[in-house]
Amino acid sequence: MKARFLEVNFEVKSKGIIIGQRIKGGVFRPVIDHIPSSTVEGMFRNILNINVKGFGIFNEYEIREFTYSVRDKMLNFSKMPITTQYIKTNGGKIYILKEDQKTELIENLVGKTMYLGGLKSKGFGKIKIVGVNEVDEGKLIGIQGKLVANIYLEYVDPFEIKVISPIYGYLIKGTGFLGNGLYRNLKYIKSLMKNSIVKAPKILIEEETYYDE
Amino acid sequence: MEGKFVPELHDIGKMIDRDKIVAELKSRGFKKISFVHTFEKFPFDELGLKKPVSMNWWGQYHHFRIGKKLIYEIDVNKWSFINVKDVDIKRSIIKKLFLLILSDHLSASISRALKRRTSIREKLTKLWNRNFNPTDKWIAFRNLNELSELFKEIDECNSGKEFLEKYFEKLHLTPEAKHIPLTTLYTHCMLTGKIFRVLEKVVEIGEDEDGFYLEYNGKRVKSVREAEGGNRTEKTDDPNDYRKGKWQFKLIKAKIRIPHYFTRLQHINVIKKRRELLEDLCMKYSDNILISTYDSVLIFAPINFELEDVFKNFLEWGFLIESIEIIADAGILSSNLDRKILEARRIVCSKGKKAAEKERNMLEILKERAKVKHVFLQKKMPDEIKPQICDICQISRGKERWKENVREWICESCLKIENMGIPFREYSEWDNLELRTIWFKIGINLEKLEKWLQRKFNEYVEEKIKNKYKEELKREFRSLALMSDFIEEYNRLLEEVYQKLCDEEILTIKRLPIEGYKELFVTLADDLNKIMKIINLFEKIYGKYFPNVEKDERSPINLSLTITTTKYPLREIWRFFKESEEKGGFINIFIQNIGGGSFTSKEIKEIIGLEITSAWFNLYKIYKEKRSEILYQVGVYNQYGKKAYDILKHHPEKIYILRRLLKSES
Repeated sequence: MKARFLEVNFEVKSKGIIIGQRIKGGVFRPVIDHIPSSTVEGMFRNILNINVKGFGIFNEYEIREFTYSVRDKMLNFSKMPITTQYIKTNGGKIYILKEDQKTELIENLVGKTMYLGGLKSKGFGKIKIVGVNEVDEGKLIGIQGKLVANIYLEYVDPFEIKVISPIYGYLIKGTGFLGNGLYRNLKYIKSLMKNSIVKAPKILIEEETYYDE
Repeated sequence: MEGKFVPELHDIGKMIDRDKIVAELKSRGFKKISFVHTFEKFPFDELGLKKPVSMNWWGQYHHFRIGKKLIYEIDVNKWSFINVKDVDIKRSIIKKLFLLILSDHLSASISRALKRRTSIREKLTKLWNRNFNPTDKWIAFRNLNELSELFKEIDECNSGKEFLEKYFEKLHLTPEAKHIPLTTLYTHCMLTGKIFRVLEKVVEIGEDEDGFYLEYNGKRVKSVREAEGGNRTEKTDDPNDYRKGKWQFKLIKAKIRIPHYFTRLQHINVIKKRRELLEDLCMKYSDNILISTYDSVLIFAPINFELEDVFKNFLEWGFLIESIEIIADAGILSSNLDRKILEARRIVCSKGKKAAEKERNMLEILKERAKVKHVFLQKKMPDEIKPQICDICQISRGKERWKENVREWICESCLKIENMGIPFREYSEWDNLELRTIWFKIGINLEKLEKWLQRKFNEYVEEKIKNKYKEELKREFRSLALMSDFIEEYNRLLEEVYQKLCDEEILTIKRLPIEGYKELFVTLADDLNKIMKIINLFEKIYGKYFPNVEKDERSPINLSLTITTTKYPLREIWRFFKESEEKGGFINIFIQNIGGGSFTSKEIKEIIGLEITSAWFNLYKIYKEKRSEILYQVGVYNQYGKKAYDILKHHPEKIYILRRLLKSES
């Protein structure tokens, strides 16, 4: 059976979105320019307590910087300022593999406000779901190209991806959900990273390529 | 038969003053002059000259004809000119001459199959520097007397390296082919030598009931033609032009990417590590690697060449290798074949099969003859990693450690990189000076270079050739040798830029931040207009080496500069440099807290040259807040008049960056 996807359209209702690359010891926190599977999974776990397989992209965006200082309330002083990058955009799309029993729950999110990414306390991450539609067949035609987002390797089969020239990396995954964004048993799972050359439904492709397979 | 066979020597005859020698021969009564640049039919006996007898002599037969047929079309068993009785020696001569012809074809910048020659008979021309004039310095052998020297060279030369060194200057001033005089003979000889030695290791000569055969990858052939197949990629009336060859080889364009996330100054040692590994690689595979830059190599290899073995050391250190493999019949293998194929496929996909008939025909001809593959190579990675992952490479498990009150995780190989020492100790001391730093990098984009060379070649053909075959020439252009020449000039530019930066005291410390890596520099922003000094110096030297290369986004070379505090993460600076190289313009500037932009040389001069007041920033504010270009443009016209309006009306973001740059510098 051919994979079907839901397209969840959202508008950004805050100053931006921060989906960080793994946080390093330094005082600068870079962001990634797309929504990886791990973030989509975490977000839907949090609001609906369901497992979904997905990824997302932003509309036109700029990468900007925001500097803040973490306050230690116990000691009543501010730590060294940290600069984080954030994505300034008006919205984006999250694509979720359609599974019938979860479709209604997701469709009911239209009009609701949710949080995507980090640093909610500083006014980031607020989004509003403005539409949920099934992706047209035309956008599911398989083409060869550069993968648009980081996805778990285990999604390759359900997303009907043929891997041609992979870049592997790791995305974090928790197995025991404790609620409120917390997990037990966190581990890094081998994943297919953005810009890998694949043959996949059009929605997963950023730039078409024409290599021999 | 004495001595080694030196393939580099095969075109030594191109270094003679042929016109003068022919005139001399005519004055001595020779009516029929039957040599062009090889001496297999030269009248040695009549002139009382000693004919060379070494193994090298047989290289002179690489354009030999028997009747109307050229040597590459003829069965090696019919190479009757090899009148040597000893079978082993004969076998050796056949193999060497066969491989020489094949490697000469592979390293040529125009397919040797093009029968229609041009009427051009010019000295060496550089597409990127049309002012270049080699005068007569290129001639190594001027008259019959000096020809004896040439024959002595053929007899006594035992090493290609020695030959290239001895005639370094003259080979650089002589064209590979006078009818398309765009490549230096030096590069052509060097490439021929390298390819020859790669072939020599994988091709065997054997004998069956029909005589000698040459075998590679289990495929036996008896003529060069049979091995390489047709030499053209587009249909012509001659079926030989596109028939399938039996031997296929690979050209691999590999880019060594740094996926590491720099956090500390020591982590830029990863660039040093890449340079060291690349140097080792170029030594180990000196023949396979035809072209190399600081981050890329172009490799010629047999079909079963395993890239993972070649890049094993890079993978262990966490580098990511991105490679494009062109696998094709020897007759059509060229470094720009991938671009031709991929572009044709793109056109067929976007226009449809009917509208793109020409491209479809080409792809049909190439169907069995060429493939283009994309391969990423990484070290082997487990399916999962228990937290935490290494902060730097992010593909291995990291060990916890505390450094400067920060908890970090680092894997063994990244720790080794860190332990290579602090590469530019002074940088951390600049912290206290409260001055900003300027990191700047010169880069070259080989993909852009290929496109640029093709475009300039097309323009050259349009300018010089008036006959109907010019389209064929454009199509069968091969960029490999010209790329090699261009990169050689680029390396000279880098040398000179560094020298001048030191001489003019633009560098605060007269040293490269990474020893031996001549593309990257850093200095303190302690002088007014230092950025402009750097840009002007770069442009001046660029203008000297590449006066005919545009100073805009079409140029394969670029300069990127960042102005940041010393605390600004080097990883972000590096990311800006890499993005600018791949997608940016001629000059790329990033200012911390302000932003970045790409500029042409003209834009910089025009914008900097304008006398505009700080009131312009108010207009920019209106543009950003109201998102209204019209309001902004009306304001500009009213305040600064028509002349300034023509410059200021476009790209307010670019103007903003440059004005802020001037403001922050002063």
